[in-house]
Amino acid sequence: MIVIETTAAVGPGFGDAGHWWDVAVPATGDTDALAQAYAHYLTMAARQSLIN
Amino acid sequence: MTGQDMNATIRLTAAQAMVRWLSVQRTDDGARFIDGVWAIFGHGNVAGLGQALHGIGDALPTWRGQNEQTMAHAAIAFAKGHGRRRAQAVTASIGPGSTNMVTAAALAHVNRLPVLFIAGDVFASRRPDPVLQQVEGFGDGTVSANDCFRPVVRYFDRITRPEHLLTALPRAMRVMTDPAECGPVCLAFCQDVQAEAYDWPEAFFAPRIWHIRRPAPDADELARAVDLIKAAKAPVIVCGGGVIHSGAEQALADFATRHAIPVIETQAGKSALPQAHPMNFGAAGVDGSAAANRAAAGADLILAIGTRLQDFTTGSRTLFDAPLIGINVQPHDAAKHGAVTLVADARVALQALTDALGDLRFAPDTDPRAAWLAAVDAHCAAPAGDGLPTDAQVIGAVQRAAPDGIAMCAAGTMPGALKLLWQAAQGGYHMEYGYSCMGYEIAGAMGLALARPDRQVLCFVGDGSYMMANSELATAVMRRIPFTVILTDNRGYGCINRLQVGCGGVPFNNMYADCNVEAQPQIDFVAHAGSMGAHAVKAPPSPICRPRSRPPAPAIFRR
Repeated sequence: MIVIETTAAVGPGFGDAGHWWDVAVPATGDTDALAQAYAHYLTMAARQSLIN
Repeated sequence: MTGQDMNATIRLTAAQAMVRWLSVQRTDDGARFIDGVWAIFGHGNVAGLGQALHGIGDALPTWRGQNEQTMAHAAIAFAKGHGRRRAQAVTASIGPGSTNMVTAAALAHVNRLPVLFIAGDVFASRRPDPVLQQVEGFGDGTVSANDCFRPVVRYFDRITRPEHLLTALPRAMRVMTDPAECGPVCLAFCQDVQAEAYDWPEAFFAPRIWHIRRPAPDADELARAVDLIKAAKAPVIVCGGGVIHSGAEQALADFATRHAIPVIETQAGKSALPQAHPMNFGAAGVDGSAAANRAAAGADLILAIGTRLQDFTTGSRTLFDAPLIGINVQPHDAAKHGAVTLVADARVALQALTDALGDLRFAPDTDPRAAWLAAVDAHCAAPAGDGLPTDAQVIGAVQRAAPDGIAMCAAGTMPGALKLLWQAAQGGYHMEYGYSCMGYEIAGAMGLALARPDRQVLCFVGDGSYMMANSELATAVMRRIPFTVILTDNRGYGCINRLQVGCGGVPFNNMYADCNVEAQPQIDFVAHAGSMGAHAVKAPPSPICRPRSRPPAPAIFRR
C-alpha cells in the first residue's frame, strides 16, 4: 500500500472536460453563493430532456 | 439413466444438498459457476450450513472474511472481473450478519452482477420464537430480517422446507446466468431446515452446464436501427458495461473502426476499448472528456450499447441532443430516453448491424481526440512544485508506472478522476459506479485479483473510503492475494466538500477541519495497514509523482 497525501482543493476536471450534474440546490438560503448556485441550477434543469 | 436410477434417492440434510448441488453447476468451459463460499458463521448457519461446507471440502471451498458486506464486495468484484461468467456465494447468520449483506446486494443489483447470498433465517418451525436476533413483526408472522433483501435482489426465496431447494436452486442459477435479468439472489435458509434430512433424487445432483444465451435482434427492430444509422451524418456510440458482459469488446472495436464512429465511455464500459483505439474519444458526461462530450453534443444519433444511461453518462439528461438507439439485452434499458429499441446481445447486434451497413463510413473530426489526450498527459504530469499533489498527478504517476494494470475504485474523487484521466489498456479498468459504495475498494480489489491473477490490480482508495471498510486487507494478507493499494489522503471527504461548495453551501462536516471534533486526527495509515500484515509505505509528495522506470512491486506482504 502506498499512502500519498493529496490536496482536496483541486478536482480532477480541467479545461472543457466535464458536464453538469443534477444535484438539487436549496431554493432559499442566506448567501449570495447559494442564490447564484440556485439560479444556475434552474438554468441547467430547464435544458433536461425528460422524454422516455 | 434407467428408470430405476431415476428413482434413486440420497439422504442428505438440506444444507448438504445445497452445497452438493452448487458444486456441480458448471460454465461452458467446465469451471464451477459458483467458485466458492465466503462465510462468517453464527448460530443461524454454523451448524447446518457449516457442517455441509466442511463436508464438501475443496469441491466447493469456503473462505472466512472479516465483514459480511465486504466479503460480498469481494464476491461481486470477482463476478465483475469474470464478465459475469462466474460468481461466488456469501453466507451469514440470521441477524446483523445478513442485514450487513443488504448493502452489498443493492450494489450487485444496481450493477447487474451475480452473487448468491445464503442468509441464515429464523426457525421455520417457530419453536424457539423469538430466536436470538429474530426481528419480530407484530402484524406479520412471516417477516424476518431477510425480507430487507427483497427490493435489492433479482430473486428471493425463503427455504422453509428442504424440498424447496429443488425449485429454488435452479431458479437462482437461471437468474444469475440470464444476461437480461442477471443480478443477486438471496436464499433465506431457515436454520432448522438447513439441518433437516430429506431423501433427494440422485438425478438432482447430476452436473449441469449453464450456457449464457445471446439473443439475436428482432428483424423489424434491426431494420429500423439500420435505417436510422444510414440516415445519420454524425453518430456516436456510448459504450456501456453490457459490451464487456457480452464479450463484445473486439466486435465493438471492429465496428467502430469499420464505420468510423466515435465511441464514448461509461464507467462500466470504460476499457472495453483501450484508450489507444483511434475511435475511443474517452469518458462521457459529467466526468467526461472534452472530446467525448463535444462529439456527443454534436451527434445526430446516439447508439447506446449495453448502458443504463446513468445520470453521469448523460449529464443528467442535458448532454445528448439527438435520438437514441438503445442496443441492450434488457428491454428496460433499451427503451430509456424514448430510444428506438434493439433488444439483443451486444456482440450479436453489432455483427448484425455491420452486416447490414456494409462499407458505410462516417467522417468524424478526430482532432479533438488527439488534443484531449495531449491535454491529459500535461494535466497528469509530475508536479513541478513542492506542494501536495493533485489526484490527477497521482493518476499520472501510477499510469506511467503500471500502464497495463487494472485501475479499480468505487467512491469519492477518484472514480470521476480515473474515468476522465486513466488511459486504460484493454480491460484495464474496474469501477463500481452503479452504487458507488464507499468501502468497496479494498475487498473489491481482493475479489478482482482472484478473478484476474494475470493483471496487476491497482486499488485507488481515498482516506474516507478506506476508513469506512478496510478489514479485508487482513484477509488478502492471510490468503496471499496480491494487489497494490494507492491511498490518497486528503483529510476528509474532499469530493463531497467540493460538491457542497459548488451547490452554494459552506464547507461543513466533510473535511476533518470542518467537523465538530475536539482534536484534528493524525491517522497513521501506514501503521494501520502494517498491523494487518500489509506492506505499506508513505510517499513523499514529489518523488511519487515523478515518472518511474518500472512498476511498483505488487501487493507486497510483510516478509
